Amino acid sequence: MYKKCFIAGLPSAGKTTFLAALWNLINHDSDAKLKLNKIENGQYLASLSNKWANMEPLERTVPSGEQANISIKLELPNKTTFDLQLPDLSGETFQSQYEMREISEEVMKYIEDANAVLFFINVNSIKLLGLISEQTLLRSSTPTTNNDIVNRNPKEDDPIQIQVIELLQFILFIRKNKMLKIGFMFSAWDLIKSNLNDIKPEQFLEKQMNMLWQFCQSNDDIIKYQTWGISAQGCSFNEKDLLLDKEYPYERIFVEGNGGYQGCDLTLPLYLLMGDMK
Amino acid sequence: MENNNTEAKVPTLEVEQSSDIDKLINDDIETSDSDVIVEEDGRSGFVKLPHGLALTVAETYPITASEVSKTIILIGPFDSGKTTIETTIYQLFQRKPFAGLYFAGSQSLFGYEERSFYTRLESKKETATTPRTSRFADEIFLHLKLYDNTTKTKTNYLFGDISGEEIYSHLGNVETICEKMPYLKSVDSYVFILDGKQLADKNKSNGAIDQAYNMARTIFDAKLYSSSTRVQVLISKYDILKKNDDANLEATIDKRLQCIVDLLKKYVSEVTVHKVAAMPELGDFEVGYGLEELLSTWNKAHSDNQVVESYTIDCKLNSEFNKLIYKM
Repeated sequence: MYKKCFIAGLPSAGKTTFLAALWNLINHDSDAKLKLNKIENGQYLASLSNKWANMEPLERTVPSGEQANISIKLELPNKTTFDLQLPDLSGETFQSQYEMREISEEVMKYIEDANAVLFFINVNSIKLLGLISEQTLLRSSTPTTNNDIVNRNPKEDDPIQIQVIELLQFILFIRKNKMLKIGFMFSAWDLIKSNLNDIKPEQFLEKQMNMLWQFCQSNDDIIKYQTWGISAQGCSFNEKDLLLDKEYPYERIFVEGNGGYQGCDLTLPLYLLMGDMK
Repeated sequence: MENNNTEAKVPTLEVEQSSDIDKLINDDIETSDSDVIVEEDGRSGFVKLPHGLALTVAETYPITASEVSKTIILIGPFDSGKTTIETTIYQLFQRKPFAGLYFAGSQSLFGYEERSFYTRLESKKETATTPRTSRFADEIFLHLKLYDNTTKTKTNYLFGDISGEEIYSHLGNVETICEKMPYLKSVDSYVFILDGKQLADKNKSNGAIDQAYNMARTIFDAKLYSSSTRVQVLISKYDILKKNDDANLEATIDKRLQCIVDLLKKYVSEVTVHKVAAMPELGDFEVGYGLEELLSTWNKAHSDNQVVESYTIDCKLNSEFNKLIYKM
């Protein structure tokens, strides 16, 4: 049985860190929902996982270094096995789709065939809308005129939620509005938990990316989504000594779902998203 | 202003020098939509994605033919705030549902972003501004799909971003407006915009009202409407009008506007007056003042009395083609 999961996200969204942590988890954690059945083509993931285990920064995936053919054989609790394809594409690839309005035929094929999409969003990259007209007090106290012309740079200036919505519209367009199962993976979730301890991933989506939330709510006939908060790295590299003390590297992973799940099982979003695998 | 940068595939606002700041603040720059749609063959192994900019009339056909749609045309002179009204509605959806409606998609996200940038802090501007709509641009429709959580229906809104100079070049000329803008016949709502800044200036106020009156008359005498067409007479930049010290000014203007309303009611039954401050300069008004009511007016279901009785069909119509009878 083959299952394909398309992994999407803008640069620094945590896609590669997720894959590195996932590999470590499925190799070592007996409690994970999905387990590694057999190593076949695991060289790339094993290399990532080694660095991740030592808390070494992972190199950013550039378009020329994309790994489109990652496939792992996984085992369900009932011992059924299946092959899961998880291409590791560069964030620039997605940014380019937004800005240049074109997509490679190879990526398009992955999207067409995908059973589900994991869409990574770094919580640090989200900025709330700031309008000049709402800064009247600031303006009146600083009457200087700013003569510097700033040209719009879409990939940096356009809100993250707009770029995500556009990429989702592309996915729906390519799939001809075929039902899309999607998991929004809010990475660097440990930063959110340290500031807003009680907030759930779904509440975060509604509060911080409301237009994206509206988009999902109003298109529930073609989008079924889940929200997850994940910290695949565990914390910032400045605090790595704390995490290196843990007995098993995978114990540093933190995953939070809306159903109250809190733990380290990164396979849970995959398991729940991929649907019926009997 | 023309865009000479033919190599650029992404839209850029045409401001190259610091000296252009005055034009920016005066709402006097053009979008480059017409140059942005790359006509050249795509790269080998790559497939073109939807351009995301404003749509041409032809590009709206797949939407209007297959889904519930409303076409809104905003008519007003140069710098009267047409684009600002459109982009502010879009931007307010980025924060929360607006007027009881949810954002459900857009084929013009990139175009909206291009037009919204200079109203945001990221632009590092002191004053919010929006690009001037190019007079000869074919890409005039900004698209929003909105979901009504009460009725559980989605409606496509197509906002006609027609340049002030273009439509006012047909002022008083029924023949040319019919020839150049035949698509206006199927418009759901006309919004006649009177610039609050001009209304606040007694040297310009009368001219502004006369111009709107004559423009409305031109369009309706050209029969570019249907029995279900709605009209909104709108004062933009209402914050500036309110700043005026003349206590009688607004009452005088209201009286003059009533003349426009009376004229329009000879043609269509639903005519409303709106006062809007989309991106206000003063602290007394919130961003988007008056826009919620405006959007609700567009979204309101048509009353039955707008349908000619002899055309009433005694069964539920599902196809958009059959529903055309109600727009005739």
